[in-house]
Amino acid sequence: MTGENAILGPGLKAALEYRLEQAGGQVAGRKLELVIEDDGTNPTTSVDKARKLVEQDKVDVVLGPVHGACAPAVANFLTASKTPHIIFMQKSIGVLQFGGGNIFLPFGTLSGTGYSLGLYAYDKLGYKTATVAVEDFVSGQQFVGGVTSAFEKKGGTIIQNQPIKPGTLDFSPNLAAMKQADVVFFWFTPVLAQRFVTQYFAAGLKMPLVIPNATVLFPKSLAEIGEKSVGIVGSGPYTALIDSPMNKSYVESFMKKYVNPPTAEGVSADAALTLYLEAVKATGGDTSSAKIIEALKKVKTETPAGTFSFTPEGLGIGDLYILKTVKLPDRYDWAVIDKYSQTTLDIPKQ
Amino acid sequence: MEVILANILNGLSYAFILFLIASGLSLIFGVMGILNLAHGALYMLGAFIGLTAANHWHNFFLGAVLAAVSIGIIGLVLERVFLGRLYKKLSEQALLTLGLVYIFGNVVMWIWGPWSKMGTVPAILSGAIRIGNFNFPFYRFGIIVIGLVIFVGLWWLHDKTRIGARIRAGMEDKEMTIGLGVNYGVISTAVFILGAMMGGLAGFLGAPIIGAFPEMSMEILLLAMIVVVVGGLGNVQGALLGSLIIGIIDTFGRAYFPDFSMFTAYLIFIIVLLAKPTGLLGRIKI
Repeated sequence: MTGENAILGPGLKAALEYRLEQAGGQVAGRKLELVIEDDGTNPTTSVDKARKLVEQDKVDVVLGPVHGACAPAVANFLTASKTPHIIFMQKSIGVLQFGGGNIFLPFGTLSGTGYSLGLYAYDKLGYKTATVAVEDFVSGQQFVGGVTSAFEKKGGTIIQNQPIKPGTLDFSPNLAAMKQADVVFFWFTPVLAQRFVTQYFAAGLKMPLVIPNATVLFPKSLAEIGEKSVGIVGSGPYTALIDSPMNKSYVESFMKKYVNPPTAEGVSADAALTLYLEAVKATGGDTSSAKIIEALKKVKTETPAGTFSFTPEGLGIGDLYILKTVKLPDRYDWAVIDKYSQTTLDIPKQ
Repeated sequence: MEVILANILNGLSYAFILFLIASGLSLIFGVMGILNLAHGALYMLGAFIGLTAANHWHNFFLGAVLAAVSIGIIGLVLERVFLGRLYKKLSEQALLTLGLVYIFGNVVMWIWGPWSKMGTVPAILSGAIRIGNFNFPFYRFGIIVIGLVIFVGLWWLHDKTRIGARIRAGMEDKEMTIGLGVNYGVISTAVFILGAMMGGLAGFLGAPIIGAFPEMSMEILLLAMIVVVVGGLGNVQGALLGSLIIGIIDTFGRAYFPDFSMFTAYLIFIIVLLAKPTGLLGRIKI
């Protein structure tokens, strides 16, 4: 709710509260209580809050966090305490390797989100060369790493790679140094992504922009960038414009209550809670850790983002969408232009 | 050659953005000895207030004026009600202004939400000049020109006017200056207001390039501190020199040595701090 990822907090909170409301505040005869803590986008705070949730609040499951640096810290602690842990959004595959089998990544890995996009960029968009600009930390490197991994495997060439330090205010040196290629693969955290794209267009560069986990550019961010943002291609696990009856109904009722459309981060929280509720139903209301963990491995359920289940290791199996920015009458948003259905949301094993 | 020229221009525009941010802090800390850790928050507030005004009235220049004036008023309240009572109490100043950072950040979240905003370039400064494959926006030229104008104005005020002489006298020996009949309290307040206005104006002018978001206060403050330490406290020449050094070296560092870009600015900061703790043109020890 605060810190670098404060922009994500309201959407996450709204989605969780909305799911709780839809569930009627109970599951399998048990009353549901949601305890929300703010980690301030800080790994140390994140662990402190997780400890408080487990030791003081005695929660049955921990959902979240969302930031890439906080998730491994919390996962490490929750593995030690054997608490079921369902993480929001995509994370590094290393998070699952803390052991214990109690960690679940419904939206898959950072690289997995990028991999399908790399395939699409080569096969369907016909790009053969690419230049890369990426925020130089684990999420940026792995999101774009997935894209370039698939792109190069198909025969594409990465002619330039510019890792850019987190918090950069002025991208002009990187933009001036950018080599001409068929496409620019890029990824930054939400504020930097908006800043990068704005400065990219101001610099008069015309190469197509392609971004994994595209919804870091929120509808409001796209509106701030303006008409030039139309046509950016990306990938992601969710957009409010997914054309399924369940999602249309969800978006309509969500917007009636909260005005803004649901975010990908919010829907990842919704999916995490939904999967947990299905697991509790499967156990008949038994929320002991071992039973819930076993039930989560077998659960398969429909969410606004599509159908989700897990591999035995806790990796999500779901739909990955290829997206493109569009201008609607009331907002800018990401439209679905293609889909990779029911795929294990990670780089395919060699 | 074109890339070098582009980077020189990029470095200059970045340097003047830094100058706009840091000049206010240099004035406040240099003249009044007040450690205002809320300077980044004033920058942020100026950006949001100015952008709201500019969007509402569709007038960039009105947005700039309102950004400066509104933050000047906030500066007046801060100085009169809070900071004026903490003369020479650096720890208390730091704690108070740090608290203000969190307060202002939350106020912005309540009013404007967590979303990042980008400013719109005025029509008179839209467009760009072509340098090879690269466009250099006219707005960045505008930032350089505005920065130079502000520098000249502040330098003239500080070095060539009677008021400036009184400010400089107070910086050397406040008690003696008061003893000679100068109402230094009024001068201090006026300098604080001016420094705050500079911060607010910088926020609005920087918004079309950097944007504005509620969590940016500490990021901006850190940059401003690096610039004033390198250039030296207490005079705008120092703020300008520090900005030029940091802006140009950081830009070229990122263009030609990207692997080291994470710490280019901090390396300069450390070297200057070790070699000349008062800063390159500083008059006051930190």
